[in-house]
This record gives sequence, C-alpha cells and structure tokens, in this order.
Amino acid sequence: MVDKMDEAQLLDDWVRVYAPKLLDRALYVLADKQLAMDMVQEVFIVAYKQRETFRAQSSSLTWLQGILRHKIADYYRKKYRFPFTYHHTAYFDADGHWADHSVLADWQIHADTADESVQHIHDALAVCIERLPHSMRIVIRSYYLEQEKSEQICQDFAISPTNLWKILQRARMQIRACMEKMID
Amino acid sequence: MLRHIVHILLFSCEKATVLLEKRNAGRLNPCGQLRLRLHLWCCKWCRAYQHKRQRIHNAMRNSTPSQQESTSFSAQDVHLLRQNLHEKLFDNRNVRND
Repeated sequence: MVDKMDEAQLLDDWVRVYAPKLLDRALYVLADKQLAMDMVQEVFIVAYKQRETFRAQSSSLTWLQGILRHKIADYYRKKYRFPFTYHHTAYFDADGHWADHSVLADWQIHADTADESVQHIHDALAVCIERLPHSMRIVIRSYYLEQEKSEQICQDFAISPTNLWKILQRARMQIRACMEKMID
Repeated sequence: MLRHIVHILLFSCEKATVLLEKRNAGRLNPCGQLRLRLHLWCCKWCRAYQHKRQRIHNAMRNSTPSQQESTSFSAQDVHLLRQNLHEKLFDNRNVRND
C-alpha cells in the first residue's frame, strides 16, 4: 500500500512539474486542446508503466518529451496514411515558373508606426500558419519544435527527405499566399 | 527567353523553392548551392520569395512553446488530467486534492 501511494505521488509530481510544458508542446503541434490533453494523458500512462526505465534516464522532461514526440508521430501515421502526393499547384505554371506576380508584392502594412506595422505582419503570419491543413501543420510545427532536425522528423513521420522539403515548401507557399491576401 | 535559359541551366522556380528548404537544412551539395545562388541572382520572383520565406521561417522559429510562455491550460486542466490518470492507473480513492 505504501509503495502504491509512493508511486501515486511520483505520478502526481510528474504531472505537477511536467504537464504544463507537455500540454503546451502538444497543443502547439496538434492545435486541438482536447486532443492535446488526451495525448499527454497517454504519455504519462506510458511513462508510468515504464517508470523503471525512466529512473535510468538523465532528464525526465527530455524523456517525457520523447514519448510525446512518438505519440504524435503515431497519431499522424495512423490518421494520414497517405499524407502527401506532390503535384503542380496553382502557384506555378506547367513549366515550373511562378503563375502570377503576387510574390513580388511588398509585405508592407500602412500603420502609424513601424512597430505597429511589424506587429500587424506578425499577427497576419500567426493567422496564416493556423490556417494550414492539419496534416501539414503537424509536420511543419514538429519540425520547428525539434529544432529543425530533418532526419529525426523523416524517421518519426515515415517520410523521405525529399517529401519533407516539399511539405515545407508547400506549407510556406500556402502561408505566403494567405499573407498576400491579408495584407492586400 | 532568359527565363527559359535559367530554367534549363539553373532549375525551374518550382524546383528552386524546394531546394531552398534543402539548403536551409544543410543538405544541398556545393554544385546545387551554386546553381541555386545563380538562379536567385537571375530570378526576381524567387528572390522575393526567398525574403518572404525567411520571414515565415523566423516567425515559426519564434513561436515555439520553448520561446513563449503559454496560458492555454489552466490549473484546473492539469488537475483534470491528474484525476483521469488516477482513474486509469489506480483506485479512485487514491486521488488526493493537495
């Protein structure tokens, strides 16, 4: 009984110290509060069940973040079994040249001060990133969350490096096109 | 005419925008880097894109949770998480309210 209470205490300590950080990371990638809660709950269940291994680790947070990383990748692979097929898009013509001149437009917002203008662009970027399709957003946000470690992302998400470059390019194209519309 | 020559010798614009990602990850070989640099030098569209890409890249780098304090989850959310975990892993009676 004492052992069980100790283990419950261990779990409580983990949740108290690490849950906010893990929830933030999960929400950042998944953009869904309930899904983030469920995912982090699963992380703690796995961690609790493997607590003997955990005690051998040097950093608890890194270990828990690693479990979360794998959980998110599992979720992505199951949900998006055939996540990405690349084909020509409206951004380029059949020869691979820019389809229109919108890319040449300046991202300048007329505001009273330069700071306000920067803030407007920052806000518009945030909105456009949020508008990315879910599958694309999971990959690009994981890429940044993991300090742009492309090999690790390719391995986790079971995609080739070439596909990763194309996903990143496509995501930026969509963000750019959204920005041109918002700032226009 | 110049555009066609650029595309034949130095990639299409579509390919160049993908290679910017590869270069950013440090995976583009020296020959590819040189051709990409020449493409950017010749092509004002891709040069404009490169600047915008950099702004998007910076915005994404600066918006990770490690860079910002989040307020999306309350203490109540964390308490609920803890409660659910106790229900799944232990007897409910072990849930304490400290």
